[in-house]
Amino acid sequence: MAVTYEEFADSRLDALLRYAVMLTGDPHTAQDLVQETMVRVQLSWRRVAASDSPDGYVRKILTNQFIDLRRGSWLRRVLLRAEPDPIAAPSDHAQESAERDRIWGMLSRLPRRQRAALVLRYYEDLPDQEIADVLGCAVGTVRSSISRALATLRAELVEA
Amino acid sequence: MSPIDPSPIEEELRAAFARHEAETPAAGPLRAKIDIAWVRAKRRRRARRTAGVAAALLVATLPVPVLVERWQHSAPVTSDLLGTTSNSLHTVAGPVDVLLLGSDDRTAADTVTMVHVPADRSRAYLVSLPGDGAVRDAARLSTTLSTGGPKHTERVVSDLTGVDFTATVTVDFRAVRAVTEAVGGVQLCRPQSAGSGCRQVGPDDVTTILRGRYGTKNSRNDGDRNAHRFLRSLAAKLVADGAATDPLRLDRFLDAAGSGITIDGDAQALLQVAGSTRSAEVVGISAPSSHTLGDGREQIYPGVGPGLYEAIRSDRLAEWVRAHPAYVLT
Repeated sequence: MAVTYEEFADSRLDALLRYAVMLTGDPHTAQDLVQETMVRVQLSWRRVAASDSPDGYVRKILTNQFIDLRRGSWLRRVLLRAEPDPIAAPSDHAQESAERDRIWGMLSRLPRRQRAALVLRYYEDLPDQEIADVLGCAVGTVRSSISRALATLRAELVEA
Repeated sequence: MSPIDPSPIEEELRAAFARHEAETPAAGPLRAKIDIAWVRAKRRRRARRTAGVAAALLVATLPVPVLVERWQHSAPVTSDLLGTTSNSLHTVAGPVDVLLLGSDDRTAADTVTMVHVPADRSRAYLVSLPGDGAVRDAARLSTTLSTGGPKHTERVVSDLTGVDFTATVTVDFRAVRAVTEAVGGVQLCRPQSAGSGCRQVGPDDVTTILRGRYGTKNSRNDGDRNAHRFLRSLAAKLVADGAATDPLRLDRFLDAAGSGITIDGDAQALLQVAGSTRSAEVVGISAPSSHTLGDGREQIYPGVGPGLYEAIRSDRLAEWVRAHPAYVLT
């Protein structure tokens, strides 16, 4: 018995939202991204449900939508709306957290693919092979883009 | 990079992700927003689905280039939507003939049109054949669809004309009706020679118009002319509406094409040709008057038939059209 869209949304929406927050760095943009993704998912639910891993399939759709903004209306609704707010800095202990959060701000300046690769490895804890599946590239490409991203972050942290 | 001894930067990353987890918005309200967006998307999709069907129909008759390209490459599109079509599977050279059947109920072929695209791809000729046309076995052309399906109709027309068809495309009128409704109807205008004037036509007029029975006071030629005009207006409206250029709306095009359009034959070749005639002029050809036989059937292109068919087969329709201006729809 294939999973229904409702069951899927009930069990997975939280996790998708968390993932989208890590990707976009902004809760509002994350909501938009997840909403757009879920509407697409519903449009082709039969195909999603029939796949080996509906979960992985949806993560792939969401990731692609994040990376490739040229496709679809996400571009118009989000990208053209304005630059997403940087990071909503918490008002209390602002100074300390701003310092700690420098790495979070730097993430937003990475190329989207690199950021996605970092999130998939260090937040979703996926093995490189699965990251490669999500990003639709070779494992070697995943590794090299992660090490490039880490090098960029390291360099910026030292510089500052 | 070793997992045993993670570098500080990797630890910092994990920590940053963990810290920001707390910003994740609640799923409940979003779930409701998604449901609302989904209802809207479904409504749009319905309009889009039907728009796609009409566009597919028009592919065979009129230039709607982007749609063609999208269809040809099939989802998901990876290249630029307006990119070249030259990377398609194979290049079709020479003239191409397609048989276009329009059906109100998928049993009778209400319209039978030969589409001829010459080797130079400069234009597309639509040669209308009467549904009541007398064909072999004492049959009418329109009923061949119910007796043997599109392939049978194609064979019958091939036997009559000697033309080999690359493909036969069957279009469901219900789809066209739905599209007409989705775009809010179209203006059907008569040329000045016929007294001019426009009329708003809606979904209920579609079958009459496409069957060539609309405005046939003067001749059957008028009916075909109206059908062609109607399709042209519909195409123009679809393009103006943005259906042809919005990638999201195009997304569902494949599905849509599947539901209202059937292609028997070399679909790849057909679509490639349609893509290459993107800005082509469309020339409609129809008999100026009908000649009814004793049994109520109609003679198909009496007199000029053999010459017309020969012109199609030898790709010299341009000359034939110049010599027979009365047969050209304007």
